[in-house]
Amino acid sequence: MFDELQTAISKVESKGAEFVDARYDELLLRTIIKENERIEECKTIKRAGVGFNVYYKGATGYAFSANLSPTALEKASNDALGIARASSHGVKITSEVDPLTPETNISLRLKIKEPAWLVDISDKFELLSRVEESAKENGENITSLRVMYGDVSGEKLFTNSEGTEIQWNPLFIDLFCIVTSKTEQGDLVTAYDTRGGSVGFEFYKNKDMTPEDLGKDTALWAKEKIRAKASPAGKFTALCENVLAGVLAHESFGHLTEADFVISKVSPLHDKLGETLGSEHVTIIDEGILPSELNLRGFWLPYDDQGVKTERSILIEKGILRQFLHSRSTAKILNSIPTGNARAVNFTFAPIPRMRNTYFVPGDLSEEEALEQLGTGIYAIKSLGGQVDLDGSFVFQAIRGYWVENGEKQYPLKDVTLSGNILELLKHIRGATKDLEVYSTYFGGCGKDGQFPLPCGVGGPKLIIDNVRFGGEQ
Amino acid sequence: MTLNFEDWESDLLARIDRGLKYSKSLRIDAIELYLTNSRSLNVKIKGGMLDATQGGNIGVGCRCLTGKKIGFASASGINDSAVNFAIESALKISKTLPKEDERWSNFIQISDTGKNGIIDMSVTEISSEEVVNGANLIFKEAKDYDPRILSIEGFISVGHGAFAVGNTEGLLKSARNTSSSIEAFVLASENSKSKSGVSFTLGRGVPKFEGIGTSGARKAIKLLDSKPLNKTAQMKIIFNNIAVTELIRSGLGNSISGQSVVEGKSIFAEKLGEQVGVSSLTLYDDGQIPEDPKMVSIDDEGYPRKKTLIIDKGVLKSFIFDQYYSKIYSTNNTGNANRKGPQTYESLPKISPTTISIIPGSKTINELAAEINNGLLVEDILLGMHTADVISGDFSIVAPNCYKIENGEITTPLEPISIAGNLYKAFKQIIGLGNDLTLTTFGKMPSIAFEGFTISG
Repeated sequence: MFDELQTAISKVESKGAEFVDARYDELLLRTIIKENERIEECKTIKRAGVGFNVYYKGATGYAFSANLSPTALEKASNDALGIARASSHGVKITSEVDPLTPETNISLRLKIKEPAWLVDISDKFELLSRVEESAKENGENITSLRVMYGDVSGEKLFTNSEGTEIQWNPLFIDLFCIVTSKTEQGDLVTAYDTRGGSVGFEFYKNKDMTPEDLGKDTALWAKEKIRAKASPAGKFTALCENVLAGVLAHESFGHLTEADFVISKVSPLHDKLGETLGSEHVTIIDEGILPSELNLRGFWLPYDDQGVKTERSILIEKGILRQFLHSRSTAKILNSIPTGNARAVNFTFAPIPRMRNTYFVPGDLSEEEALEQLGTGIYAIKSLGGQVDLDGSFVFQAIRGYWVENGEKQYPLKDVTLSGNILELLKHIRGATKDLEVYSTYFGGCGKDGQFPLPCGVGGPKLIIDNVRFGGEQ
Repeated sequence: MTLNFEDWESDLLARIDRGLKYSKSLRIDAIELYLTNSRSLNVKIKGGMLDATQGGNIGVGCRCLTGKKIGFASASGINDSAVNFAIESALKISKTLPKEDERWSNFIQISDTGKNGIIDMSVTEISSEEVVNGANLIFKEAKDYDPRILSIEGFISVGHGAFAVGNTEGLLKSARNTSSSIEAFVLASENSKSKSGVSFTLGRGVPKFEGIGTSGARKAIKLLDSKPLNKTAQMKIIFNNIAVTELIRSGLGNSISGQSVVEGKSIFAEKLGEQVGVSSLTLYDDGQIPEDPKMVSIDDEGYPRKKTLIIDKGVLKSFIFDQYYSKIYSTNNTGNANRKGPQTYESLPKISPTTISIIPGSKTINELAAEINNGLLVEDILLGMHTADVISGDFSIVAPNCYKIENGEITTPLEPISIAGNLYKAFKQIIGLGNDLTLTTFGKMPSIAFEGFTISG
């Protein structure tokens, strides 16, 4: 395929294209969803296509095709040049790239024991049955039990006008469980949990990662919520658990460091590089490959979709804003270097600055010490996400929590909503625990500019944060 | 090979016919093929940066049965090798599944069709230059409105497409569609305070670019004077005709879905014929609004799109269904099978509302405010609505664009307000319906006033 892409690149260059990126993705995605032991979905998706990003007189145009014939490739590259030409009359900020040394003969594959794409479908069904059994055994008043399995495999190719040729094989597997239980009043409460990562099928034999662990944890959590109380409303000190900390790092802070938001000045951080924005406990990292010795459950991403290595970026270091996340063109605009953050969710989109695995760096407290320091407030756990406005104001929902008094958990809370402004929140981070967790999931991901769901890792330690506004009923 | 848009449907139907013949040679018990071909031009403006993308979403999705075991596979592309890959993979899955789905009955049989929306060919002819110029106009209008405008983000999309469905019950149908949308987020900034205003338009032809930038800018500038409310209390709130559509739809997506009803996840499951809302509330699931860019003649399984009465004067009348769940519930299909986009061919059809429409009241928004006397007005944007617990209905959101209502008048803009309540109780907490119907991607509704939500700000 490299040859076909290079042929199209040469042809469109001869028509005036100044610089061309070309991608080919061929991915297989397999999903099984069961609800109340019925098979709701069992499917295989083959997603293959090419995309061309053409630079012309300070403008770019992107065009894609699922038809892979040489004429279709030529048409797509010509379309990309055509819209770049049209845009070149209207751009106010130019998109260009500085030269990079081409990387050739790159072929990367993660070492795993049991590739999920070779595992028999019956073994995947067996995993799901084990989750179901364990959930039923440990739950109470379960009205609905939903279990899901997903894996993705395939290859991604990248080449460009500089002659870079990179090929790598993405992989990800995930087990997901949702338990709904009924309270005595007839209300329904829900708990979710997940186990997965860029790992082989052997992962499900690891401690705490088995299907039994997943089913049990989720069911016990739903059971706990049966008797949970509504969260009080008002401002409290919070202990944010690892996944929730990760969602804060990604959603409420990370997006503001994406260079396109910086250039457009939409991000409140656009003029704050080098400024102290947070307490000394705030260090946030974004990187494509997590340190392997920590057994973190992120997404493995060795190169971005512009052929740039995904090295570690320190966004904020001990409270000081250090770096933005760049594509090649945003790096040129801001006189910085490409950071390997140009990503596209699939071949139908041009890459834009996106996060990879984003997490708060851990501190030195134990969980007990953190609860003690919290004193009285809310221990908020996990999140399915939230939403952030352009000015930095955010709202997040933790899907589990406890009311804490004098360092002791008092009673479980129903869904807990946190809101505020991220720039305020970072100043109020008072401490961090020493345990680092990073997770990502096949069933969901990051959304930006219509590109959803992009696999990203999020995580951190547990964080003590003062003055967090909690929503809820009075 | 470039086909005229008029010929896309017949092209897809011919490909399905070939696929069905191939599946016959494989002795498949029952099969359904869904093919789609759509093309769009998307221009994104971010500050002064401009990104334009063009391409066709083409692909095939196949449901295949071995006995009552159902496999699904999809492939990008619609040539014979893509179609055959989908058929063979779906067949393989259906053969290896561990158990049958006893509740399965059959694919859609021959039936009527609904109506297609307005086919406006202007979207097939618009040039990338015109769209880029439109993006620049939005940018310029907003910038020129006030020096405090800091930045503009805009998304413009124009597209056209067709899809077709065929199955071994003899169904072979197609539909086509044209659509356009513009969304603009305008950011104003003063004394390190930033506020955003949003404006948008939806349609089926080339959109009107004029006025979008100005409208977003006006809203953002107004909010720069916002003051904190400093209060946690229960207050009466008007949600304007944009903000309310997301709130109401969030309360219906799960509760009226035939799947949720059958699977025990709908709070409305046992409430057909009961009063679930105030008597002034009449609400439809309406897949046949001609100006709605979503309107097509058939749903994603080939069943006619319809207008279904859901709540009549506060009384719950119907749920929405696809083929599978309508058979289990022994009721009529309502044509609500939808495949999630933009790569619709990668999804199995699932039940979801089309466009929720509400019969308007007679009051202007100012008259609603006068009635409320003291309370809040929430405009346009709700943050965190998707975090609502759709099973219990509890929600807690933040409204960044709020105004105080004092002595019956809409007055001071407010700092972001958090609002907590319950989506299902909300139908009974309605205290007024406006006359200002508007269409958003969530629904076609007037401004609506509620009581009983807890606000904090």
